[in-house]
Amino acid sequence: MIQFNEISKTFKYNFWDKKFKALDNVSFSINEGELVGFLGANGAGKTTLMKILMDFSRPDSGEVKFSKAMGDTPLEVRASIGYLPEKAYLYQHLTGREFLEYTGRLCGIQKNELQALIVSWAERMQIAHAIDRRIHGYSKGMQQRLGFISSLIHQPKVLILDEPLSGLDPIGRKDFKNILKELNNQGITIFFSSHIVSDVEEICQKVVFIEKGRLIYEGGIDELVLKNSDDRYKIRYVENEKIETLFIHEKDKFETLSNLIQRKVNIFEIEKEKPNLEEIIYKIKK
Amino acid sequence: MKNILTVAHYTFIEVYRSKIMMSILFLGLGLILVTYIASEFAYGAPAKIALDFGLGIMTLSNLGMAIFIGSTLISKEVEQRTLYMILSKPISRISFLIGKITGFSSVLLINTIVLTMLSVGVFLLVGGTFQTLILWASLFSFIESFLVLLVAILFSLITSTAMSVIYSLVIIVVGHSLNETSRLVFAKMNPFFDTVVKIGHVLLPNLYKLNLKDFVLYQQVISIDYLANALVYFLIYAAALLIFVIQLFKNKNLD
Repeated sequence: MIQFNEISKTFKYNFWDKKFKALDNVSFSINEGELVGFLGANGAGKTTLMKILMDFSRPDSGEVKFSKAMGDTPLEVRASIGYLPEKAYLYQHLTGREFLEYTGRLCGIQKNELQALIVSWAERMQIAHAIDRRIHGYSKGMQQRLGFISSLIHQPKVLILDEPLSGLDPIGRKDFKNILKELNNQGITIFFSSHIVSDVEEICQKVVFIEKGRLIYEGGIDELVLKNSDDRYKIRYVENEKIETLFIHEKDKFETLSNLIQRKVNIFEIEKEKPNLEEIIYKIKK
Repeated sequence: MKNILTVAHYTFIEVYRSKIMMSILFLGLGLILVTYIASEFAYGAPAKIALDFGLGIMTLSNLGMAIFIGSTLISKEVEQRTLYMILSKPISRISFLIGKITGFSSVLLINTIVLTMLSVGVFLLVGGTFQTLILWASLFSFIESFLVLLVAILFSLITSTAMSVIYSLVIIVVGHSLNETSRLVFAKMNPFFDTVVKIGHVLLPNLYKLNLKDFVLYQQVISIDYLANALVYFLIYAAALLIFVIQLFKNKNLD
């Protein structure tokens, strides 16, 4: 659906400074219906890549290709995308409703339909009580919720979200993650960046990981976890009224188990040891 | 076209509700009051003083808004990331820019209309006689502020907000003094300086042409050819400037 082909981008902050490579030959793809997490530390190049995807910033080399299903012209492509920038600042003197009317009208949504969508999404995102209040009176989390509504009010095919969970309280994060999963189940492709690995692990099937502007990994989370798992099992059992724990290798699995069964111990847990995504990412970075 | 009007509509609301707009309007109203007081002290010609003050204040407040809001109209959107929310929708950069300019120009137009009505009101109150030329002076003041708005946006796209304000002020001063400078004997005698002034005439807006206050206050007549020529000159100049600003914005990296 979206293909990044060898994207490179450099920045030069001052005339005398050396060029800084923000992205170095990054290539990967996002397929239809996927929920892709985009991981990387602060300054890894996530936001730069998203800006290139949205054509706000132009790469030094490489290109972003969109599938025909997203449209033929740049405006058609943009009509099929919903985008939420990192820490979106909204027009502070407009009310929440006016802001959504503004962005909704640009998407060509009819007046009555737009009002109905505003009401339903404001209720869903729990900002209905403040929808006619000016945005400068909104908290950071409320602004994030309003920005999120604006990014999906036109029912896009693809959602591009830059750190959508930052600035939200734990309940807000949970709500957002549930909505992302729900939208993905409805067929919307989602690409969202985060530097919080557990959020990505919780809801995504696929992960793209960049470090210092370079692509480190692209693929399924399960595959990554499996690839980085040790062939070790943890067995917990009760013997002589004491809980014992054994760590064994794959090759010793059957022998150890039959031995324990012969001793008639009470085995209550057998688990393959699996590191979480955060540990794997940390290991890859090292 | 629909998108341009949508952007213009919400830009108007945003600027209209901002404190800058309110403070400039209060400043304008305060200065109108000063005008009335000044005219009370002008023995013999209170109407002329009232009109001179009124038109001058209107021009200053229009130019103040054009420079200070124009310099931040687009750059603030980039800094605060608000434009990402808009440009991610199916709207071209050109429509967005023209919408922003249209929205803010409508604020300038309303400011011009309100302050013209107040100036004329004070002028009539102290015994002045209405003349159509006052309306031309107001129209030209609006055109001048529109041009300065484009200049401020142009500089804000290639430099910082502070420098954009300074460069716009320089353009206003040079634009108003080009005519007088070219008449200096020194300019006529020095071929290099003469060439510089001629280049300045081509590249910079000749804002002197838009200043009708002398005609309104003293001569009270002006040929329609002068008005038509000035109007055509500034329409062409504004169109060229707008095309240049559009090209800059279209190709700008919004990092």
